Amino acid sequence: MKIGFYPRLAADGIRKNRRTFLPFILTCAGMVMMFYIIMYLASGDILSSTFGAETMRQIFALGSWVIMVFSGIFLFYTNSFLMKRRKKEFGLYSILGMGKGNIARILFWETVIVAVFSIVLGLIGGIAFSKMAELGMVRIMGEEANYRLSVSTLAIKRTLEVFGAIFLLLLLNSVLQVRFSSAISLLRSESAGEKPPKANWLVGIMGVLLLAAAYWLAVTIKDPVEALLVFFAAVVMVIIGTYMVMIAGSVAFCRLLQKNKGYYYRPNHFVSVSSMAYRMKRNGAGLASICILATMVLVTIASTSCLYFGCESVISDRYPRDVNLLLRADGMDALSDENTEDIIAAVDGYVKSNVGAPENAYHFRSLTISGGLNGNVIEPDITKLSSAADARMIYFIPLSDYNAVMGENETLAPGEALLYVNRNSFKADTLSISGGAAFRIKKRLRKFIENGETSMNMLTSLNLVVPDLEAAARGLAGLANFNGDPLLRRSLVYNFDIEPDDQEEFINGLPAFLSDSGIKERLGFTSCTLESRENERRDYFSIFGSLFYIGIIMSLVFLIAAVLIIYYKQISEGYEDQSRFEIMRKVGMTKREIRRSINSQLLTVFFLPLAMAALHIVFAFPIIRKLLLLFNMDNIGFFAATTGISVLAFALFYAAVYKLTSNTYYNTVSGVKEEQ
Amino acid sequence: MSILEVSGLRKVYSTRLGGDKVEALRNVNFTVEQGEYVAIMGESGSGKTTLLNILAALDRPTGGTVILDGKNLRDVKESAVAAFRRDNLGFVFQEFNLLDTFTVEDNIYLPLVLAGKSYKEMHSRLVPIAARLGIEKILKKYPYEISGGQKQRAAVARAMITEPKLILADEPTGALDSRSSDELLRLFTEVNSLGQTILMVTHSVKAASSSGRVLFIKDGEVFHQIYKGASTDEEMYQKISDTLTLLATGGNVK
Repeated sequence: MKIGFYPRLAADGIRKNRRTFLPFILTCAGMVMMFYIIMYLASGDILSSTFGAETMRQIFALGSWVIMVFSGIFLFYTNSFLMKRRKKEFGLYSILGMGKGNIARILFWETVIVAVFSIVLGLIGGIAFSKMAELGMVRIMGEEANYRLSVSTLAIKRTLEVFGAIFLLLLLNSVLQVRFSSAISLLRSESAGEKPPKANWLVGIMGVLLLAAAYWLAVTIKDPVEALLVFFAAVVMVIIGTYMVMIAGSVAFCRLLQKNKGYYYRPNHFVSVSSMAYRMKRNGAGLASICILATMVLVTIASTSCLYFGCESVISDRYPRDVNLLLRADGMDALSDENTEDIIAAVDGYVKSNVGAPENAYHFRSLTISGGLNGNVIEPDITKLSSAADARMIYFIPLSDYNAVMGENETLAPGEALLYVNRNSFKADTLSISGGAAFRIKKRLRKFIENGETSMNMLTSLNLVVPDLEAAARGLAGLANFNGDPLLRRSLVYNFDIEPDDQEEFINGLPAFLSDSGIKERLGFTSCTLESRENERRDYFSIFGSLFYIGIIMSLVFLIAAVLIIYYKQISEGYEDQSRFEIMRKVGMTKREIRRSINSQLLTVFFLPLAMAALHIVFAFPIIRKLLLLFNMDNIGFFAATTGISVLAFALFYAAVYKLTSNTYYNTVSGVKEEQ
Repeated sequence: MSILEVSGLRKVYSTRLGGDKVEALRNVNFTVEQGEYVAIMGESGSGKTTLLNILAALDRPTGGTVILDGKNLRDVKESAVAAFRRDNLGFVFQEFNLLDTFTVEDNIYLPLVLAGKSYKEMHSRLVPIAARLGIEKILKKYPYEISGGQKQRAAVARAMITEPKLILADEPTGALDSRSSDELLRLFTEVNSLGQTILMVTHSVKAASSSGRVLFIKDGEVFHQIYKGASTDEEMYQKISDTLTLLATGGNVK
C-alpha cells in the first residue's frame, strides 16, 4: 500500500458523507472561533485604558473555561452521530479484509483532516471577527476604538492546545468504539432491531419531583445571599430533572395515552402516539440538552441585558444625585441641628465658589444598626442569627428631616415611629430592639427618602422615622459598643446635583476642603465619603457591559449548539424514518396523512424543549431577580420586560431553525423513493 | 364473475434525464375471477414488480386499463387512492413490513384505525382471524420479539382484517424458512378456500404450485398460463418447472 492510501480513503469518506461531515466541521470551526475570540478579548490589552479592564479580563477568562468545557462535551455529542452513520462503512471495510489497525488509521486521517480544516477555518473566522468583537465591546463600554487589526499569538496558542486535545480525545473515543465491536455488529449497527421503549415510571416520577423541588426552592427563596447558594443547587436539580422527565417521563406519558383505547385508536393519534414513544426514547437526551441550552441562553441574555440596559436605573438608585456626600460622626453632637446647618453651609459655600449653587439638594441624618430579625425583635448580636435571610439594617431618621425632604407634615408622639421597608415586608405593629427601645408603628410609608446606601445593600433595611433622634440614640446607648465594634453608626447624608455634572477635579476636591478647612473636625465629624455618579458610572458600565457582552457570546455558542443538535436530530431521524414512511404508504396511508402525522410529531418534539425552557424561566424568574439584587438591580418590571423580549426573540429564531431543518428531514425521508 | 380485469397494460419508464425509455410492461392481459388464487411468475426484470405496483395503485400505467371489482383504477382520484387501497386491497410483503413501533395487535389494526373504525369493531374482527392464523398468543408482542413466520402471519392478518376484495402478495415466502413457507402457503390455500381472492407474485415454484393458476410473464407480456385443475401440488410443481425450463431455454410453448 502506498503512503497516500489512508489519507485518500479518509478524504473520500468525508466527501461521501458530506451531509453529516460538513455541519460537524462547521460546528468545530464555530467553537474554535468563539474560543479564539474570547481568549483574544481575555488576553489582549485592548482595554488596559478603560476602567475595570482587569475585572473584564477575569470575566472573559472565566468565559473561556466555560466554552472549553462546553466545546468538549458538545463535540463528543455530535461526533457520536457521525460514528453511528460511519460504522456500517467500517463494517464493510473489515469484511473486505481490513484490520482494526487499518480502520484506526483511516480514523486518524479523518480526524486530522477535520481538525485541520475546522481549526484553520475557525482561526481565520476568529481573527476576522475578533476585531469586530473588540469594537463591539469597546462600543458597549462607551470607549474610543482604534481600527488596527491585531492577532494574539497567545490566544492562537491556547486555541491550538485546547482543540488539539479535544480532537485527540475524539479520535481515541472513535478508535475504542471500533476496537470493541465486531465486523458484523458494525455492519448492522445502524439497522439493529429496536426494542420498544419501556416506560420507566420511577425515573419519570423522580424527574418530575426533582423539577418540582427545584421550582419550589426558586420560588420560595427570600434572600439574595441565600439565593446565590440555592441557585446552583436548583440549576443542577433542574438539569437532572429535565433529562429524567424528557427521557423517561415522556415515554411513560405516551404509554399512559396508549392505555386509553378510546383516545389511542383514532386515526390522528394512533401513529403519532406510538412513534412518539420511540422518538422520545431516542431523542430524550437531545431534547433535554436543547431545553437546557435554551434555558441557559434565555437566562444569560435576559439577566445580562437587564443589567446592561438597566444600568442607568441601578446607578440612579445607588447614586441619587451627582454628588453624594456621607459624613460620619462619633457623638450625637455632630448631628445637632446647628452643626448640620453649619456643615451644609460650608459645603454649599465651596460648591458655589467653584461651580454654582447645588441643585436638588437634600440631606438627612440617621442612626444605623444591623441585626437579625426575630419576630418583631431586632437582635443586634449577629452570632444569634439563624439565617442570613433574617439579617436587617435598621435606620433611624428624625421626623424633621423626613418631613423636610419629602415635603410631608407628619407628627409623632414619643415611642411612635413611621416605617418604611425597602424589600420584603414587616407586618407586626411594634418593633423593638433587644436591649434597647421599642417603637409603636404609627404608619407604614410607601415612599421614602432616596438613600444610595440602602439600595446598594442587599440586606433588607427597616427605616424608622422617629420623633427625636437623640432620644432614639439614648435608647440604643447600651448596645453602642457591642463586641468591641461601634455598632451604632451616626451619619449625615447630603446629596445634590451640580451643573455640568462631570467636574472631577471639583468633586474630588470637596473632601479635602472639608478636612483642610478644619470644619469637619470642629463640628465633630470623623470621616467623609464622596461618591460621584459620573465617576462610578464608568465602573458600572465596564462590569455590566462585559457581563452583557460575554452573555451575548455565550448565547451565540449555545445557539449554535442547539441548532446543530436539531439539525443532526432531523437528519438521523430522517434516515431512520425512511422505511417506516414507506410501509405506511403501502398499508394505505395517504401522503397527506403521513405528512400531517410527521408534522405533528416534529412540532411536538421541536417545541417541547422550548415550552419546557419557558417553564424553567418562569420559575427561575424570582430567584434570578434576587440575584440581580446583588448587582443593585431592583427593577422587577424591567427584568420582566427583558425576559419577555428574550423569550420572544428566541422563540422566533427557534421557529426559523425549525422551518429550515424540517425541510432537510422531509428531503431525507422522501429521498429513498427518488433513488428507487 | 371476474374481480380483476387487466387489459393492454403498458408501462414505460423514462430515465431521469428523459433520454432512454425502458418498457417494463408491453401488453399485459389477464383476468382474475372471484375466489381465485393466482400466482404470477417470471424472472427478475420481467416486470412482475411493476405489475404489482400498478395493481396496488402505487404506480400508474402508461396505457391500458385495470378494473378492480368493476372500478377502473384510472378513475380513482390521486387523493382517494390511499383510501381505495385501504378499503379494497390487502398486502403481504416479502419483508413483512410490520412497523416496529407497534405491537402485533396494533400493526393488524393499522388499516382499520386509518379507516376510522372503533376499537370494539376492530377487536371483534381480529378475534376470528387471529384464531385461524394461530397468532392469539403473540398479539401483545412487538415485531422484534417474534419469528419470521409469525411476522408473516401477522402481516397476513393485517391484510385480511379489512376484508379486502383482493390480497396482493409480493414474494410472501421470500424471507421465510421452508417450514414457515409451507405453513404460510397452507394458510393461503385455506383462506382462499373460504372465498378470499389472492394474487401472488413469486419466484418460488413451491409457492406457485399451491395456487390454482400460474401466469408466466416474460419481457413485459403474459407468456403462458397453467391451470391447476385437478392436479396435485406435486404435479403442478412439475408442470411449472417444465414451463420455467422452456422459458429459460427460449422455447415457445404457445
